[in-house]
Amino acid sequence: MRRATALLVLALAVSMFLPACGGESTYEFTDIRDREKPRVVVPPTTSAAQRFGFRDPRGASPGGDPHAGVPGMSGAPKTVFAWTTPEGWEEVQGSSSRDGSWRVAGEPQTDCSLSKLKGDGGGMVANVNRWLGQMGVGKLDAKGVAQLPRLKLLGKDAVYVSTPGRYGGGMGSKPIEEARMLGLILELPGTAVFLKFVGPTKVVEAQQGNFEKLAASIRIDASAPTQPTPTRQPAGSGRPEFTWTLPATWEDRKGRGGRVVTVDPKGAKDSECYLYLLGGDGGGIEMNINRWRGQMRQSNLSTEEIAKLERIDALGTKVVVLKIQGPFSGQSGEKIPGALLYGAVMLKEDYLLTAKMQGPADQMADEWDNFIAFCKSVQQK
Amino acid sequence: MGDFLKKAVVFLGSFELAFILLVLLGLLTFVGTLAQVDMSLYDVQQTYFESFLITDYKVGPIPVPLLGGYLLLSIFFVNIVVGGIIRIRKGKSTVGILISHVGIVFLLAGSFVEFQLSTKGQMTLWEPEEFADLNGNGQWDPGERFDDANRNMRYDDGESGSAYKSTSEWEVVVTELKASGGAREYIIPQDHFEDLGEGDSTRYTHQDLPFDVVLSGYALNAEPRPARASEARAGVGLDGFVLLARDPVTTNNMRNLPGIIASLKPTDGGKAKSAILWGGSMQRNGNRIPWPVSMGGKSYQVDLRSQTWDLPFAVRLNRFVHKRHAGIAMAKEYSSYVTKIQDGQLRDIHITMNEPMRHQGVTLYQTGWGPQDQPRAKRFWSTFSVVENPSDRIPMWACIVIAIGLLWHFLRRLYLHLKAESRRRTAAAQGGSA
Repeated sequence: MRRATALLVLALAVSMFLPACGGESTYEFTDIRDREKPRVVVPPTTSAAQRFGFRDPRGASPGGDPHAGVPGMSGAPKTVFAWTTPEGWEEVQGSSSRDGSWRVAGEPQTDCSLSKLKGDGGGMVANVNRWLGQMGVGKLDAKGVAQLPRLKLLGKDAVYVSTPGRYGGGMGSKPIEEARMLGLILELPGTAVFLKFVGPTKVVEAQQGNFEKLAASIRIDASAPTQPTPTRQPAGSGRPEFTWTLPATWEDRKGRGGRVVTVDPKGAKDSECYLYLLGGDGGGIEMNINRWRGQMRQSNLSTEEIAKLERIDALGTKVVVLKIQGPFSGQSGEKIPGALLYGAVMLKEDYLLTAKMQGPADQMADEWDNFIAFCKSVQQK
Repeated sequence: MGDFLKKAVVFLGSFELAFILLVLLGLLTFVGTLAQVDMSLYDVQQTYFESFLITDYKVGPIPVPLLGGYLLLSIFFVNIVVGGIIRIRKGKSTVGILISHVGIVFLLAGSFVEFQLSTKGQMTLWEPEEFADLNGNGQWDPGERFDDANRNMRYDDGESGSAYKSTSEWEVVVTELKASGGAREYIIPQDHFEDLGEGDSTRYTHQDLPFDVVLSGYALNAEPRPARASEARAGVGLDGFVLLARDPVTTNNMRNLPGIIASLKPTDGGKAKSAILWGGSMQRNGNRIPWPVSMGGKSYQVDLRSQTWDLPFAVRLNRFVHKRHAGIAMAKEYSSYVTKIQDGQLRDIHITMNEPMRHQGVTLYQTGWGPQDQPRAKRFWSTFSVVENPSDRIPMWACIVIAIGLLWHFLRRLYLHLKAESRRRTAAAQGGSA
């Protein structure tokens, strides 16, 4: 009896220490829940950096920080850009103040950088002359800057600087005697965006086409998260306000809640249209579109499919618009069997504004043009 | 042996043991209360009251092992069943005591059920900005719903809450995104991975998944940081990041953001995919950012999130009301006017500090509000503690049973005393007249 007890105690003691020795236990999933729709959907391209609130880490850059020493850089807004790297180029790691860094493969003296500054970054003339100074070239006055050519960047006309010279080098990079600089400067409300390419003259001139392709491919990555903050930000006094023009056959309704405005076609009992403001990126374009598609019992669209959706100019940006047909089912159980939903997602620097119109398909069929006109008329005060 | 058992049963049901247990429980309460100076309430509960043994308590430099609340109450349960119900002398004089003991056993059993089966979390809802001013007086009044100006009894997507989250417990969730737009969540609760030591891992399988989920390297408080060049060269890190374990915050458990390594290992022997999961992976609006991964031709999202439970209904916050007594900062009223939405039916409910909302075994208590630094904010948010406890009414019924028992006992004693006194007086009167 005593021997058996001693063995039992020994077995218990051994079993208590077993877990500390390392090993793998196997279990079957027992808690499984089916949901009508996922709690959240992120793009399949979401990177670890985006999940953790960082910019994508990249390799070392020869060119250093193009805006070193410029005040305001540290406070630049956390917009995340996306792009398509030209063939024959490679992405490299830049300083933390850069949004993107590239070089021509096999040409270590080349350096291309994308960055932004809060505010106007010192002003267009100052920025152009700062770059010209780096190349040892004389300054331009405002008139001279105004005469510089323009090239599209982020869908807007950016000032295009192209100059030969002696590149003085940046932080940690060597001077280039016969150099050429290509650069784009774009002033946006509250932000200035810079794309600069510098390197040996022959290489840069040969790669000018690729530089312009890169510029054309740069876009705001709507799916990218901002710095994570565990708590929701309160709606404060900085909330943007808007104006709009109603189509002649629409009317404004008073006393709507949670929305910027609610309007609907006159006499249409079951159709309504409203603007809804969300802070930050509001979950992004993709999430909002797929949320609407879920309400209409339609499958999610991929990032590529969303990229092909129609765009209109509104709120100073390109706005995704779409139609969704199907049985509408709202969160509180309301249903419209044969419904049509029109949606527009307007992503700005600090907020996301959605326009959504839904109702029975027969009431909605003639309202698309009105909806588009309404979206185009929306302006921030 | 029989004699030993008999003595053991006598000891388990003895007054002496009950006395010792009550003294130890008092001591534990005292020690646990003092510990809240340096520890969060959650940590104190875990360490002192939901444990069997407290091994790291010290008086000065001397370690003093203490019995935890769970063990003390378990022994107390046995003590009162054996001594207070089974072995107690049965008779008219002990009926009240017996009833009270049954009530206490009922109370302890209810606590056990709550500890094992209840879920506790929080849900925060924001006010909408405008309301249906039905009486046109320019201010919101109870009964005036928000976002319902046309009185269509309809709410819009995203404007109500139907889930609550733990403030201290986490879970790893693998979400399968279905082509139909639906989703299936495979959930691993925190207690399955929180004790993973260095070199330990746990594997989770399911026949419908084309991979096994292997978890390792859990840290209660962690932060991912970009891998240094030397680390990257050495192959350390995942996706360019390493998970840095930090000292847990003991004074406020809600500030801990855990991290863990998740590996999806295909069951057909294919190449595994691994990633760091981090509790802080969320957007500014609070939406989680899970790890998206494709495997076996299907899309999945893996996340380490606060334990989340769905309510059987949705709740919409109409208005949060905070009133102060005139001229002083003392609160007069904190309350929330909400609408419960279930199966298309709407019901307005007023939740105050002392009047929680109870429905289908779920209780919503008014807990917090904000932004408290903006008394004239356009919108307020209101936080509710949500408790789903199958035994939430047991304490009330147990106290009623205990009260009945004690009332019975004391009234009987009073009756006997008055009766004896009456006899004594009668006897004295008869003696006097004789």
